[in-house]
Amino acid sequence: MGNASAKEGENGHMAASPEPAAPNGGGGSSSSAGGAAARPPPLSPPDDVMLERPPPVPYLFVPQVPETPLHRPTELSPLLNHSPVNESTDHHSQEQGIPTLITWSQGGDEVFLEGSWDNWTSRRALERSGKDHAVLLVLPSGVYHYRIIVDGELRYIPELPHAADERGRVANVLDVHDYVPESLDSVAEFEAPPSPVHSYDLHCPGDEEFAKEPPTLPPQLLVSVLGGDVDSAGHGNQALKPQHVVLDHLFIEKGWGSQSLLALGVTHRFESKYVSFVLYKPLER
Amino acid sequence: MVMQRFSWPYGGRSASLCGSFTGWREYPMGLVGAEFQVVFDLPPGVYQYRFLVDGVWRCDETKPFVCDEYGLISNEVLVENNVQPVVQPEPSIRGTNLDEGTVLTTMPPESSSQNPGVQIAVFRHVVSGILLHNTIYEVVPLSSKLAVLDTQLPVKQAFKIMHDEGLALVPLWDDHQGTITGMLTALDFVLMLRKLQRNIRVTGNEELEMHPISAWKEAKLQFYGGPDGAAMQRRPLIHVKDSDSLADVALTIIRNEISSVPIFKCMPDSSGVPFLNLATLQGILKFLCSKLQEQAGGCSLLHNQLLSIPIGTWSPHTGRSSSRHLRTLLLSSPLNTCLDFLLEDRVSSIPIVDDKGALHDVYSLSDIMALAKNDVYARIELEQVTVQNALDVQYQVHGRRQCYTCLQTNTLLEVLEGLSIPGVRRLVVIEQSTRFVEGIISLRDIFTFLLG
Repeated sequence: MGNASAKEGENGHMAASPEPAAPNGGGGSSSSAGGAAARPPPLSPPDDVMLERPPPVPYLFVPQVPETPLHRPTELSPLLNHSPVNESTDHHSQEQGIPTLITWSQGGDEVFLEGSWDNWTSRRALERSGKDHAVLLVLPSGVYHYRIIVDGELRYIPELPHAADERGRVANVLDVHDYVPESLDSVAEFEAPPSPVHSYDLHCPGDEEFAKEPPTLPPQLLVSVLGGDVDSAGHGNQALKPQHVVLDHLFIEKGWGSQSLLALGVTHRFESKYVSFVLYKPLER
Repeated sequence: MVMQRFSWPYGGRSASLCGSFTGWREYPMGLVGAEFQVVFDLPPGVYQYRFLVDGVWRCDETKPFVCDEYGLISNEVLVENNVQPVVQPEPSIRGTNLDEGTVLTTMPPESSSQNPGVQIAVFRHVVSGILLHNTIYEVVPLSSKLAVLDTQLPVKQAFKIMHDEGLALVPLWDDHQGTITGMLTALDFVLMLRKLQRNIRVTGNEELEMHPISAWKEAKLQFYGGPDGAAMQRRPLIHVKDSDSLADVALTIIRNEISSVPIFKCMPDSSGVPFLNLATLQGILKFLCSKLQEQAGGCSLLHNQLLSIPIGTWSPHTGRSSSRHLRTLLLSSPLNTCLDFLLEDRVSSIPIVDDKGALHDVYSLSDIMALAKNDVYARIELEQVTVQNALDVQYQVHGRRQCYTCLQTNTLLEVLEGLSIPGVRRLVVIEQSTRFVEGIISLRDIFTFLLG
């Protein structure tokens, strides 16, 4: 294409190369029907679109290629001494800290930790835990850099995210944020242990147990899906968005409308839509 | 003259087109989906053009281009005068006359001088774009409530529920299969009534008391299915998926001559219920109208009168041709005759006129459900009941209702808006002073026209 030899002009627009390429060797202009002018008059774009006025007509194509997106202002530069934490100490006291465990599993006698959370001013010792060394930090949410000092030597954990500064020193990158795992398997170790079998007895509830009032029904459940109008097909009636508390509950009404049948109501959510079904079934005789 | 489309699909906030056919004057392009488009009506010939995108002059590298003696690059197009030009019209509203042709841009209409055939093609293109790029899931209300009947429910109770809930059709749930297996409709009630009236292997009203819906469905296939009844029985339930386009759903409803179709979920979820909702032409039309309003000014055809649009079923005296014959019935006609016509013509309603021929009301299949009130159907004979009697029962149950009408001078937009009103399935076209019935426009007519 003709862009191969293009170079950028002083005003930032594409300047024509000395020999503009024409496809198929066609350098001449075809005459247009209707007797239109052979050369279009120069057209200038609206002033409010561009501050620098472009040339009146294009010399070459601006290729239709995706542009690299601009960095968001919130994105962090890879400099190691960058500290995202607000410098005022009040901020630390106000923000709830997030527990973060850092583990070193590559041996050593004395293992220390330093990081950008305090602008590299202090070192914390990692406690030995079996073969590993570990320390629990409580940090505000943010992105930090840290290094491990093992027996006086600066080290980093290659398996974890890391970055190098302009002097070539490598440090690990730590992203601290509130995180609720989607898979509950990953938090299995935090679950309470099951109750021991001997804590249960085989005592059957007596009359006094049954004499007690049953627990009260949550008031939201009293608004049954069995009440109200049913959508007649095509009428486009839109029911009120149901409360979450009624979802996937089964509502039963016997002898619906004085008839010997059963009405079962249930409300489901499917993606962002809610649908309540009222299923009418015959009562077993 | 040949319709020629120009498009800029490479993004930008605004785009204009200028060319040798515009005297190199800029004309704004309309945003259609993800690309800017404009349509010109041009005489055959070779033309140069270029785009002004966000203030920068651009050319389309994928299209032919030329470089003139000044080093200026422009795209070039050869417009040929085909005998049957394949017109791909765009959502275009305004006709602005130029020296060389007509540019169509997405702006409000100024004149309706455009060729009606082109207008219809343009409008259908816009509509098909909307219907193809939106799924039926988007039409499903945020929250809805549906009645479902167990197939083991006695027929009498089923029709009683349909009457009490004001339903003309209801999905059927089969416990053994764990899914929706069919639909019970007002047509079933009509066929059941006729079966009762003819005493075909019937001992009386008790059959309705005892027989479950599933038994009735099997009996219906034997009595009304004809020689291929068994084949009909094996036919799976007509349904659509929640990911189907609105165009596919509308075609499914029209081709199968049904009023609504169950929407099944593509992917099973935790509820265990594969059924999501019912899709209707009215729901799709309501969605379509809202999308057309979002278009910059809509389409010029929307502002044309019904007189100029080939849509609907018309009375012969209007001189308009239509695929179906428009029937009307007198108030004094037997209800049985009315039901015969509904079944024979495979239509859902018939305009009812008085002795002078003026419109009185419309009797539709769903109105028959009023006879389920207090078992009225068990105490009448269809031959002896007039349409007037049947309508009186309807009025006693639901009160006197509004009959939705329009005039031939109404615009297509007004008709679409009228048919979007909940519960309105058709508009009767009347002559204003006499209220003579001139035609009828149903939801099916609308979509048959829109989908070409």
